[in-house]
Amino acid sequence: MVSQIDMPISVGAVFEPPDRVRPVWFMWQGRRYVVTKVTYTWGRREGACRVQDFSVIAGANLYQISFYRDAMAWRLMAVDDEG
Amino acid sequence: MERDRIILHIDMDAFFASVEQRCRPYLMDKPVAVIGSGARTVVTTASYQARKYGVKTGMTAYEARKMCPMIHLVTVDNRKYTDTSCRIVKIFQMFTPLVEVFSIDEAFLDITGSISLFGSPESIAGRIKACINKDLGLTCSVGIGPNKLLAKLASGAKKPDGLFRIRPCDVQGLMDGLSVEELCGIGTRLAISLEHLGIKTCGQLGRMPLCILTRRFGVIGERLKAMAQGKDYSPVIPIGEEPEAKSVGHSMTLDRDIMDKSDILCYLLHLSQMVGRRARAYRVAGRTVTLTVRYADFHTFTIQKTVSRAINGSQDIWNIAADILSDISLMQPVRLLGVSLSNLFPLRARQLSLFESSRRQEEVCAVMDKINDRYGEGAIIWGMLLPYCLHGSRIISPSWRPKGIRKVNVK
Repeated sequence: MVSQIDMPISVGAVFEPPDRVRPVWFMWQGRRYVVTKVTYTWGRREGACRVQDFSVIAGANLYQISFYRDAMAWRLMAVDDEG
Repeated sequence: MERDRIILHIDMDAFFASVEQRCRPYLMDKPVAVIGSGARTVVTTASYQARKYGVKTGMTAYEARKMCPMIHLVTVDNRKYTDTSCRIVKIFQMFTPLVEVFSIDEAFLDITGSISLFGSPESIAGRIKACINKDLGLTCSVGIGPNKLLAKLASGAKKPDGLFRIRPCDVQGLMDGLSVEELCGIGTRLAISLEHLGIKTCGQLGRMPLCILTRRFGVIGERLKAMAQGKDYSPVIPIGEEPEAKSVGHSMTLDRDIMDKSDILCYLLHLSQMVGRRARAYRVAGRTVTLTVRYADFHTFTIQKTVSRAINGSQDIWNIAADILSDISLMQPVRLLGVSLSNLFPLRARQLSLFESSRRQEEVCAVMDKINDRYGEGAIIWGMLLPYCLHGSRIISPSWRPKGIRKVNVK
């Protein structure tokens, strides 16, 4: 089941040139989740802001996290516990 | 010229479902159907595993579940697919600049001039397939032919993950026994009309005297005969060189059937805003507004009205759509509404309005556009739309293209 979350999170990520970003871990509800696999990534725009979405596996679940490039901010968008 | 061209047709395999399977590895090799996000939704794509159970595009979620009880229904995420499509087009453009996007998951590539750089057509097709698979984890079927018609036919010959070539010397033997419905552009209704003339195969159509075909089908008679002979001289039209759009339009299937005209007016305002915004973004204005109405029983009709000056203001478009609506006596509840603007003219210079009220209206539109550009679609909306919780476009139309006025930002 997919639960929509949409809240800010802290993320540890690797930035590789020219503009590649790879999330490595994230903090949510006081717990650290280590990303074991990025299954898919896609870009979109929210108004003028470029957003990079990641579908990632951490632990037993699948998460969708979004990186707001211009604001350098991350959000946890959804959790899929079927993952 | 016909024999010299090498055209590829690339068709992504079960595109939306494959993207979702990549995204969610637990769906790999499982029957998956991607369904719309609206209340009255249908299957937009089914994975090959689901197709084995008879699940098809256009079925309702209920029908899909009935066919395949273990099916996984996934809600469409259009932005994922449009972004993926753009990335795939970039891969194509590494091999040739002549890429024609046919739909979100199909493209034609003219690789005639790329052979000396990248090797044989099969080698280029293989490299494209490998790149797509490496970068995105997706598979596609590639058809190679001397023209677009035959390349499209070839891509359908071996699916999924196929590669098939039709050479000029194979054409006659291949077309002879082929059903006319296999050709791109011949649908069920045309096939029935052909059957009335005793034509079922391309061989029969190709041999039919031209005068009979033109008498029955008019100007397309000649084209039908050529198609049946495997001839197609249409060029691959690269991105950015497509003919200018003849209209800008949006339609929406409502969450429930409605009869109340004040409700309908609100939906029309929303659609007019979407149409006007796209027209303004691409600096076109139109003189004709068309209203499309579909009743609950799927009976559909359109009514249009042409005005003396070209418009692109949301409120101007809405006023005309409302005018058209006021002349209609609704016979049934309405299921779908559409608004489009045609008779388009490019806006090279801005014509200032003579009247203060029109100028203010234009200024409001411009400010709303700026706010929505900056903060995202729907950041500011017309007050009367507030109770309706309406979203932007949620369907990728067949005319979607990665650039220009046909690029609709879907949700």
